[in-house]
Amino acid sequence: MPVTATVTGDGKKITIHISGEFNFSVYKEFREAYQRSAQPANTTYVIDMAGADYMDSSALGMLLLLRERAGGERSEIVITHCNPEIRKIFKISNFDRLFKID
Amino acid sequence: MSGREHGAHRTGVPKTVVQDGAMPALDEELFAELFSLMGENFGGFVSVFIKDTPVRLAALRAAAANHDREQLNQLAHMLKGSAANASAMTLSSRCARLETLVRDGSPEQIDEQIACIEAEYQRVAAALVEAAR
Amino acid sequence: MAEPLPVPLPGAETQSALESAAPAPLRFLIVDDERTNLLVLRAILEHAGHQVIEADNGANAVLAFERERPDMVLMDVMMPVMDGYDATRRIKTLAGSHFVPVIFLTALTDEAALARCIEAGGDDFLTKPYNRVILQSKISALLRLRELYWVREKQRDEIQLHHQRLQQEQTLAERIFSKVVHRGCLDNPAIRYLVSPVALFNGDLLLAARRPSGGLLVMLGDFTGHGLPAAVAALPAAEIFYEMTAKGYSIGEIVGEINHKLKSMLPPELFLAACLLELDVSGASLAVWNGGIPDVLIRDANGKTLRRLPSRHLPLGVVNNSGLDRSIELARLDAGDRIYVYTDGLTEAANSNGEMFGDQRLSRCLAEGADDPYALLCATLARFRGDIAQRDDITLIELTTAAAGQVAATDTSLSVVPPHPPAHWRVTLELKIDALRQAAPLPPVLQLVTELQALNEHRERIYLIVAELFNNALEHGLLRLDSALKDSPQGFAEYYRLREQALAVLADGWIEIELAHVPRQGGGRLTVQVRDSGPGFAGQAFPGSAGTMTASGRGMALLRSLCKTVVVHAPGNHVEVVYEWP
Repeated sequence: MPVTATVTGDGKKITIHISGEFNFSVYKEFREAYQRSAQPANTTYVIDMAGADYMDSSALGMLLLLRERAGGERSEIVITHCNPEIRKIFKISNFDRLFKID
Repeated sequence: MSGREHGAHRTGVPKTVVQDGAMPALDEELFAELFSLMGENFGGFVSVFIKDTPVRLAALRAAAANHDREQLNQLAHMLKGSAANASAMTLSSRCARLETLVRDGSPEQIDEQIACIEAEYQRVAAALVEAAR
Repeated sequence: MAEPLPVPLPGAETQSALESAAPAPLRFLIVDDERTNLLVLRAILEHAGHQVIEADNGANAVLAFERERPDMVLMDVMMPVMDGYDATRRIKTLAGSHFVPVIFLTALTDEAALARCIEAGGDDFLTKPYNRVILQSKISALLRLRELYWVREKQRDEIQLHHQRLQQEQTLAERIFSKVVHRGCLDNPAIRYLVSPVALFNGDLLLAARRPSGGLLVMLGDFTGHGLPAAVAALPAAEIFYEMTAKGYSIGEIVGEINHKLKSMLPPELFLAACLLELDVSGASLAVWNGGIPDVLIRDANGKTLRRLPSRHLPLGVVNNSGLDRSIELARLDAGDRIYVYTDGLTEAANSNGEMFGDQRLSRCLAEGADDPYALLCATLARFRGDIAQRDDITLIELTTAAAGQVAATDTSLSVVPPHPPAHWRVTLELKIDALRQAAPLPPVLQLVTELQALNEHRERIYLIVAELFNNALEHGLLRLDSALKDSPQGFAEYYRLREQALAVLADGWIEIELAHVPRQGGGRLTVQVRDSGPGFAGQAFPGSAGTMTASGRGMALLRSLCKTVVVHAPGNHVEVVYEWP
């Protein structure tokens, strides 16, 4: 499965694991994963990129969708275990101003 | 071969006569099928059969004389098929046996089998002609 | 029984073969060299209501097929002249894309025979003695199959038609798109570019336009995705870019407008990574705003150094203007410098091994390029990629300092202003210190002048004149900056930093711009006066009056070249010029 999700802490935290290519082809799964939260504004989202080997701008777009759903500026989204290429993409787009990149 | 005397139907379907415990010349069920299928053209079918088959048999003899196994095989195969269509299953199976012999039988066995086939043909032809009357 | 399908069989009255046990009347070709076999088959088929055509060998079968075009063929295998395999192969070829089932009349003796039948194109078999019910069933099954073929063909034709229509629409849309987006000035010997889109609509956007003052503005954009959505979003972005550039707005202001437009127009997951560059008319400085595009590279004449201007901002259309930093970076340029801007499609281009072109290869090409690093880079990229299909749009542009051109450039605005006969009018604009601290007032002034008098063709020159006078008044008259600072290395950025600082600190001051227009023989005369509250330049030469064209500005020499007269009133804080047209 390219996208799997685990819900913990009474539904307050959703960890989404991405594997393979993070692009528009996994849009449906990604959306289904983050839609599991009952109260998106009060949920912490952790996007685990350990298994992801490639990311393109459509993935950045999907993260923006998540961010909007989670409350925009007040959202709590952490992106972890990025490989150097993916980290570089976040750097160039300056998305580290919108998401916490671990 | 007086099929009629043995209680033939009004359609003229002969009851095949079992002679000396031998197999019937024409399979009962298949013949009924054929007879009803051909209808008015049954007579025409029979005359084509008794015209064409002897030609094949002569070719069979010639092929045996020439030791031409391939030709023998082809002819045996063809005869097997047309005999079956004529509901002559005994004749058909004798042709099938010839096919086997063509592969691994001796010339003597082949000659013998051809004689069998010719004999059986006579019976079949008689039965068909009788039924066509 | 399945439901009847809506596609009618040709020449048939009934809807479908699936409706009843007996298929609708069809034409059969039966092939056998045994006459008795043909008789039996004919009887079976005619009983079922079908039409029968006979052939006694393979060759005659092919001829009969060509002539009669039957719906189905019953084929014996062993025949003289041409056997059943050969005949079937030829018949299947003749049938082309139409499905004509062929039933082999054979007792399958072995696997080899089965393979041959199938290879030749046979669809089914019938053994002797021929059974009416069995043959009927086989015919029904094959007709069902034929139905599927027809439905598929029909669907394929519909899809093709639809696809064609879509293509036509897209081609038309692309022409409209091109007219709006590609009306810039990329046709310049000092600008070389590679544009390689993946699809009809490029997700990368490359725009270039001249400043009224003669500088050059370039925008490179990379939309999330490509295709129609990118094209639709590109249209307003391009319009804003061209209009505002022509009117003299700064990069920061253009960035703000485009960001605002895209943020309101696009859904959250779509945005535009963009880089705007401004090459000033002398080719000595480069201003950059980079939000989401890879490093802008400045290569020196020898390829020894490669300066980088990385992305420092969020892409456009992601956050509101209140959250967007619109500040620019400045870089000093030397003669022979080459500027490279590209989208990530270039560095992420893959070869047959799945490797990416990458930053290092790119840097190496530029370092080694000697006379023509651009050509080396393009060739290396092409060789690297080989035949591999592109995954992302690729755009690369090279600018040399010569790309900044002459003063009077072509008007790239699409708006049409009707000509007015020359008239008398006067306008005075006074800017006090708080107004001076805000964004440049020049674009509205220019708008006013060109629209009042429809002086569109003269817009660039008038802009230049007003800008020169205003900047002199502000930087030298009020802020007392020394423009010689702009000539030294590193001094350029330093100068602007000092300018910002001085402007912020200045307690008081004003600048007054007055424009007066009168008709004259065949045209008109525009008098521009700029006064400032500074002390003037008593005893000193007017800054820039030395006559040489310095990198920092054009000064008096340019004013004199554009204007009929230039008068500096004592004590130097009041300059009056006269511009005559045509």
